[in-house]
Amino acid sequence: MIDALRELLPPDDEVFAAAREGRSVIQACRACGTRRFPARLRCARCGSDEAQWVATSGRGTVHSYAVVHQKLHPAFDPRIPYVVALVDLEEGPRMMALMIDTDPAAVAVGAPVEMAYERIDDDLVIPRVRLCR
Amino acid sequence: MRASAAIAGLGLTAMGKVYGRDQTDFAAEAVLLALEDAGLRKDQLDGLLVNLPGWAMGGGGGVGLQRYLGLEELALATNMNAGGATAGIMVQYAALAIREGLCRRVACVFADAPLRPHMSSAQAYRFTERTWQALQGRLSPTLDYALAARRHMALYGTTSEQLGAIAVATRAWACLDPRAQMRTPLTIAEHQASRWVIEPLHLLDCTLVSNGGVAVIVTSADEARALRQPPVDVVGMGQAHVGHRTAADDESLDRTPAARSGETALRMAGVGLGDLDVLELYDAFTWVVLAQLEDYGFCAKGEGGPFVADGKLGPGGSLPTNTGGGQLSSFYMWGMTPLSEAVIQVRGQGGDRQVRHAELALVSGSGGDPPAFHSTLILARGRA
Repeated sequence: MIDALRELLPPDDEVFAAAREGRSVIQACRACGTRRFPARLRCARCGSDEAQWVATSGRGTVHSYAVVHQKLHPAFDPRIPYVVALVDLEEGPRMMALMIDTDPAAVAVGAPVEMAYERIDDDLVIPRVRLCR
Repeated sequence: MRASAAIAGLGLTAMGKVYGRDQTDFAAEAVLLALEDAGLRKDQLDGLLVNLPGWAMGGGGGVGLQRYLGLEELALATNMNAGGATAGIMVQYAALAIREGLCRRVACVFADAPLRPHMSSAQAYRFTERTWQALQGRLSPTLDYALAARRHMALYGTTSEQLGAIAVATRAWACLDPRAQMRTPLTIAEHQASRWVIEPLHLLDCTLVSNGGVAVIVTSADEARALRQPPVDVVGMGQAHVGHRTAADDESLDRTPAARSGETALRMAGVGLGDLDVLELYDAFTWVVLAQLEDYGFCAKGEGGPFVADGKLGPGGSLPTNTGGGQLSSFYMWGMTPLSEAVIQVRGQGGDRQVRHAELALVSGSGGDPPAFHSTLILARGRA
């Protein structure tokens, strides 16, 4: 499963560097301040290509969620059934994230969630979410 | 308003688990069948619009379709892709080009061959690129529709059984269509018992996967009257696009862009919802049908569940919808599934499933995961 997970990894960036330290960050446009996720080169609101990384609280609410039963990739097959959520971060952007440490039956639209960190090894920590306890 | 263009030919290849042929070959056969249907020769075609997933006009794995078909010179040719909205958009572009005199007879074609022997349907459309979304478990487009359906349920109380009513009605139409891939009647209980794909969507909430091709020939309205088939006039056209890439960018996850798309088309046609005799709605998922009914204005936003629950979409109902069995039960050729059935109905060639007095049809096309691109056509039986 771990090797298969590496096949899906996007390029390393500040999000993963921060995750290795247990922190969560998102991009903010330097010109207009708009927060966005995932990282992109150019601001969709004002067109500026200057950005910075800002810390986030790690908190959000479930905008929607789905429970996957389909076997589609060895990185995820062992996790079935697993929950993928759309999370409205406190800071504004909406983030898609795998829910871990969570019973699918306990998830609901509007539920509060917090960032969680799935440690694969010393070099790879993947941001996830879980229901707030 | 006199239509400037009409659909004069329709061609459908064998559909479903058909192996040993590629996308280009299905496309070619569909165009040839459509030409024969219209009573046109290949050398009379001067436009070719192509919606072939993952393919480019001149290359993409070999000989481009124009040369594969042996078409010598074309006045209009391009590849187009806005997902399921493309079939409608191709017909619109062809109609406008014909009206402006750029060309006279345009083939619009979709074909795909995602199924391989010994491969599950689910594998046909999986995402495996290195993206944040894939890393978080988004591995098929079904996920975004499941997220949209769950949001709709949370906001409005829509139930899985109500989605099931759409599947049941669509299957009932498929039972009347010899071409349909699924022809055994379905009950709500069976829909509920079908396995989860991605909750809240059951297997029977999701489209089939098919190999095959479908093409239409668009000509001027005048020329269509001189050809072999009853003319199907293009009297209304509309589009609306919100363009998000995934559910995370979709500011309005509970709806599709159908509202503006439909409004434009109906206004152009000079008709209202109540004038329509038959609806052919993009139905890759039961939820998309429900959302489009709301977004078009057949009922208020959020009321789609109760609206469909009485079976009005099925045979004998007051709002015949997806009368060939749709993508859910007949075949999945993106936007050509609803378009082809609308042409058949308006021509009066629906056989056992013919809707009486089917003179005015609405055809929708929805693209993107979740719906981000939308097209609407209003088609009318051509009069002399």
